[in-house]
Amino acid sequence: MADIIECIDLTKSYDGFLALDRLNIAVPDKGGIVGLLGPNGSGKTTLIKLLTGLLAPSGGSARIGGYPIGVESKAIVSYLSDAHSLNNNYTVIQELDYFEDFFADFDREKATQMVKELGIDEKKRVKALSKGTKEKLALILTLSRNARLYILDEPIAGVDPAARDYILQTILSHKNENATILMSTHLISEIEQYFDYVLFLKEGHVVLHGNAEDIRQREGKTIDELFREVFRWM
Amino acid sequence: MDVTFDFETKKPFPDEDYKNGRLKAVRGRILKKLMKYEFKALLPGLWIALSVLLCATVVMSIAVRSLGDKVNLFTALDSPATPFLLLAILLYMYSIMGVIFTPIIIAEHRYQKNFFKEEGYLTFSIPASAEEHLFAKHLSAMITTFAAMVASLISILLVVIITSAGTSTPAPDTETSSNVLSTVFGIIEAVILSVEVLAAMFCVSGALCAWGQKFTKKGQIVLRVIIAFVVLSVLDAVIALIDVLSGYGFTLFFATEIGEHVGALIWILLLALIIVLSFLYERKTLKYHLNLK
Repeated sequence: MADIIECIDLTKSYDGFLALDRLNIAVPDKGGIVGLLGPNGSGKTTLIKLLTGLLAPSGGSARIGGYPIGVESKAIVSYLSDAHSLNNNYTVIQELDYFEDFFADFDREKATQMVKELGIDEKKRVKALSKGTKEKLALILTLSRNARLYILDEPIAGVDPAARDYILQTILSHKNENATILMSTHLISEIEQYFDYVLFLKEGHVVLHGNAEDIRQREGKTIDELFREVFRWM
Repeated sequence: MDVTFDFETKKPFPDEDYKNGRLKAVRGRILKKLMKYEFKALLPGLWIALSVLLCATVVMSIAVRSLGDKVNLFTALDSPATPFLLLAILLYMYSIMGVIFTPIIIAEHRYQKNFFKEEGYLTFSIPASAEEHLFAKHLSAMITTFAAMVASLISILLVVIITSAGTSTPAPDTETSSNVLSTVFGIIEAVILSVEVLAAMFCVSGALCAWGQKFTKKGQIVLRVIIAFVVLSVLDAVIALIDVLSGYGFTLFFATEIGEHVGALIWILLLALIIVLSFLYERKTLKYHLNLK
């Protein structure tokens, strides 16, 4: 079985600045939550953009589920960006229609159910929703796909603690059970208990990786404490 | 550092079913679906503009009929209905411009918003290729603008028919067989050129938009506008030169009729080249040089 994420010497530079330097990663297609951790400018978002086809690599290659980044890989990746990417002029129903039309794995019933649970008026336009509700709607749409890989870029940044709990519970309870989640975040303490694996990025390199539980036992520290130690000079 | 995780084995994803089932169904109709959403966005604005044009056509027709036998609008300015007539003409001209420009403005706005603003994150997570995205945008914009132009033409014809009602028109000259052939070629050339002009307009503006998204810093925006102006001016000068050649220059070397056809052919080739180059640049930008913030 092909790895769900495979990066071979993946490199990205912007006008001479090396954002990712010959990254080699292989994540097997066996489910689990992978925490992508690192300070600002460490290359997390660049890696995510390369995996979702929003950027082209300067060198090396990446594959998702055995497919090179492109139409086939996009069909099996459900991506939640850290930007508000929904169409503001659509109603909530129109957003659901849009996802149903373009994503073969979109589960309309599941999405409708989650929208109802959250008490969002389906006839409301997206621009009329509060910032937090927009973020929750984007999350619902992302998780209502039965994707093989979910890529969530800072899903809990900028939301209040109650919304954070809702988002985390939604991620855990609604993701496709066989799928892998790659999640980038700064708020490690809030979420580290859910990580199966962690990947620390620093200046475009992987500086630490492994099973989250093994790391905790081996180092005698939480992932959050270890993160603060590794990146204390950043 | 090479990283390989050793995950606990879980049941495999139904890959083959997925690839041959719903994914195939969705991918097979992706262009149609992309165009459906483009039309959904373009048509409401166009309907409003067309409604205004319909009203303006009625007002213009009433104004023209109120002139009685003074068919020429310019000689009719001494009529007591002159203010009403001038208002009707103004309303009518703006309505025609509105109908033609509405789909163009909406299409350009959507191009920028869907590809290069935050919506781009969602647009490019759809399993569609850059070519499919571009075809959907340009084809739907072309079709809608063409429909707007046809509606404007029909409106103008209606006004002309109402204006000339009751006046006799001279019988057309009988065409010779060589004239007929030339007219057929002329019609074909006109159709091809019309389609190309529309395609070139959307492809060139798309390419400029794609190029402009590289410059997002404050100071660069002014530079972007200046360079876009210079590029458009140069393009305009080249087109004007070809226009002069096609309208007059080639008739110096060929018989008048053949000269006109050679000129039209040069036009067709030039526009085709502009379309292809612009499209390739747009495609390259979407595939390799996106600059989403």
